[in-house]
Amino acid sequence: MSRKARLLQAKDEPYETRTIISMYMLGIFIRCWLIYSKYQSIIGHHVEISTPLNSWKRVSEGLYVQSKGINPYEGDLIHEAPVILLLYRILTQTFYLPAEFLFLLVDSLTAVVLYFVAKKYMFHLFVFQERQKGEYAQDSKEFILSGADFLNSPVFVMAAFLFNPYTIFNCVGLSTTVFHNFFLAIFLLFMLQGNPILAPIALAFSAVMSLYAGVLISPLFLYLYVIYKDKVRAYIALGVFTLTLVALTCFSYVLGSGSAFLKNVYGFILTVPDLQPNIGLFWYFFTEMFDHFRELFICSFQINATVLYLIPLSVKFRNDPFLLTTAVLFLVAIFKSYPCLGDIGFVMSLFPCFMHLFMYAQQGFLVGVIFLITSALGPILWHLWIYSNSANANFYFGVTLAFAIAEIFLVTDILFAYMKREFCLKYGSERKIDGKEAILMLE
Amino acid sequence: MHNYRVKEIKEHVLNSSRRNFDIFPRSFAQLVEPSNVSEFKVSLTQGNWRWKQWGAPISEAAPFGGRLTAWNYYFYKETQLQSQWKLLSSSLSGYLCGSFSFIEDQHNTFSPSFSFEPTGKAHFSSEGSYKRERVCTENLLPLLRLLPCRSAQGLSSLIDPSKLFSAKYTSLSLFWKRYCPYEKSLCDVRSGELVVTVSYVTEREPLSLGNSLLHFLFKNSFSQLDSCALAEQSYVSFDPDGSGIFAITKTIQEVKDGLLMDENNTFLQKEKEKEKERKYWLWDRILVHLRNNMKGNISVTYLETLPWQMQPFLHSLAVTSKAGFMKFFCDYDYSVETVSLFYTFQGNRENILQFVNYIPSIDRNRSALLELVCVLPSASEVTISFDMYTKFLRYLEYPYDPHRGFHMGPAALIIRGLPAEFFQVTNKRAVVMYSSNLVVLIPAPDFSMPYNVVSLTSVLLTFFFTLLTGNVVRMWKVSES
Repeated sequence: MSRKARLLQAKDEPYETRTIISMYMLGIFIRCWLIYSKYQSIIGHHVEISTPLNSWKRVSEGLYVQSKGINPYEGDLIHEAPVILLLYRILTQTFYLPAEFLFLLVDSLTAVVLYFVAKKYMFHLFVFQERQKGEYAQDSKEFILSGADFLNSPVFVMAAFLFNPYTIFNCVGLSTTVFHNFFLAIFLLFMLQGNPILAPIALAFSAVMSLYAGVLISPLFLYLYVIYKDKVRAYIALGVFTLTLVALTCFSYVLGSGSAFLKNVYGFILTVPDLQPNIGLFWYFFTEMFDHFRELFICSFQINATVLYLIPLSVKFRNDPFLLTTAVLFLVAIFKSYPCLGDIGFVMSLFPCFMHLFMYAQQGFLVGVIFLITSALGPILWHLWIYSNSANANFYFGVTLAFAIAEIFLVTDILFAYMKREFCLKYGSERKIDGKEAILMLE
Repeated sequence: MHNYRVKEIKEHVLNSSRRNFDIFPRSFAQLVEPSNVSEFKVSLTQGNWRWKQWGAPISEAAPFGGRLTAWNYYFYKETQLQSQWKLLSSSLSGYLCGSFSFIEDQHNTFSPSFSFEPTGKAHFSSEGSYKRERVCTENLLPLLRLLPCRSAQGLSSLIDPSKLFSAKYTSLSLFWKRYCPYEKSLCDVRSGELVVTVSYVTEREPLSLGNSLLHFLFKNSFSQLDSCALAEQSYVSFDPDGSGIFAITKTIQEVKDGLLMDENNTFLQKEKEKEKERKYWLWDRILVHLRNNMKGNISVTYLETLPWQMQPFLHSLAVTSKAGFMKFFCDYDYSVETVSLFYTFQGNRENILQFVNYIPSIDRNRSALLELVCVLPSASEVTISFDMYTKFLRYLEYPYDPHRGFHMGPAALIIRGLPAEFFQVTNKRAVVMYSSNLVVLIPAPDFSMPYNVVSLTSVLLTFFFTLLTGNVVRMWKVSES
């Protein structure tokens, strides 16, 4: 057999379990090494990684102050929900787990859960493809997924999560987005398995941590309605979600902090009082804006981040709710009030599920280059602004804008690739009208 | 090097119930009566009193900037207190040409629990400071006009404003106390005691005693002066280098009335510096060094008020001690005062920290208050340190020159439990030392960019909206080329 044929054949085989395990161990080892090195504090203090919402330093301050009998929500320091604070207290004080070990553990669990999420999605894709084979055009065989694709994507997803520098820094910098990602991964797992009880509960926990995860109820509903074709389950999921949310809020009241936590946690996320720079768009906008227009822009930004694109996207992508979930998660990660690299890293690690769309994506190179440049330039310009006092805030803001542009390109490219692939599957790759060449247009 | 120190320039003016406004300034009485405070002290200071070099001050050392402290002997409701405070601060602001009206809201006002006792009984105290205040002749002149002879005669004619404001430490303060003849009786609203204090420190080359020295220190030599005819007492006590105490009325005479400590008696070489160790850009660690040179343990209260723009992290509070080699001066017993309060808890870091009173700050509303009661072991240096996080502010909340920095304000160290001989001058029971004022650099955005930022961000959002809806909402159609 020629060398080229042997290489092609090698790609068709799935990866061995041994390889997967060693890759997993390597990912964990990298995190372990970094988290116990001297770089941990440098990474943990970067604003791209730790925002006022997810800084572990604030959590330890909240736990300390609570242990001394002071209400942690009286000042303006702690922005974690009371239920989640209780969870941290149990984990660190009842089980005496050191913080670094806790973060390593949760991050490694997230990687494993994502592997099974991708595996389940690939299975769903396979089933869907088999069902729809009759409707596909004759010459679209090259676009259909084959066996090895289904088996290798989960490995790529896990690799993307383990070796993505954004997720590594997210774990090493001790930001509680690690827990948020874990709850989201659990939610994805149960959603793909069609569990109407556990998926909404996991979603409720993520929503309690950060309000924006609540928009994922729409893809959950669609998944149960369209893929599992079970209306009862869909409505049960809705009900369980609202019930769990209400129960968690009442429990937060009971935990002894009164209603002060509402203003400090959810009021904080919605009204954005703290203007610490981050990779999002809110901070500089609201720093430079006059107070007269503040309410207007807060409302429009929050609508933009949550519901504005949810309904059109849900209608358009109702046949592939997992793609919808990824797209909505990515949009939330771009436009939320306090984004961090951990949010972006988590969604990026879900992209290998859509390897079949990469062929149609046109802006991969541009997006990759912009990500590389902005990730390198961001900390440099931050250093120049804050520490050297030579640059000013506009430089860092420009980098933030470029980063947002890259993310926007990525999302729209993937969604557009999906639409192109659907068209090609249905009508084939030839486009001819009366024997003449025709152009494909949007209308 | 000899330091000639003018110990005291003081005039006592009493206003009795006969309302003798021919001596007492009427405008001041009209200022004080509506607000109804029992006791208040306002000070405007430039520079920091260096205890190590200059020993104990004659009148109380005042903190940098403008500070107003008020006490009430009777109970008032919260709203009444706030309106009283507002009235007092705004009228003093106009009276002394100082910016005290900035402290009338909650941002800069605080009520410490352990510190700052008044001379009489007190029920409620509140204190506010405006840290960026500068002292100048505009503040001096209204003060001097309070004296009955004004600037024409008497002690106010001694003061040379140019020498005053080029001094290393300048402090102007006003102290008003209601006249309470008996302990239990109601204090007379309309009578009280007003003390006007002007302190300044200059250090110069040794000069000979005589008229040339007086000419240097004061505006005119004494031969050209008239004492104020309206004053009951008018004296200047002068202590050249501890060799004796002289009182100058018209001529220089030796007077044995023991007044104050001179250099041999200085007991405190307690130096307090507040320095800032810039660690991770937005995170600063504040270090406060307290050195105790005395033989026994001293109980001190450290009071720190942080503006809401700077947030302390209580879990990073560390109090460590390091034994040093210092000279011993005095030997005495101490007594630790313990007061239990809301939000007070006991610390046990090396048994130095005894109580902590912490009131967290609320954004744009209230400053943070941190009071630590520590016991400083003998002949040691104790370092109090905590992390602090500086916030980013909105466009209009930055101070006038944002690149200069943000004043953190001096912290206070209150020492109690010292023997009575240290308190001959003031009749308070505690010595208050103030630390230096720290200027914290808050990174500022570019103030010329409001429209640019809004338009750029809106362009980005519109761009995304177009991309998404343009591609997602439309349907495919094959058409002819």
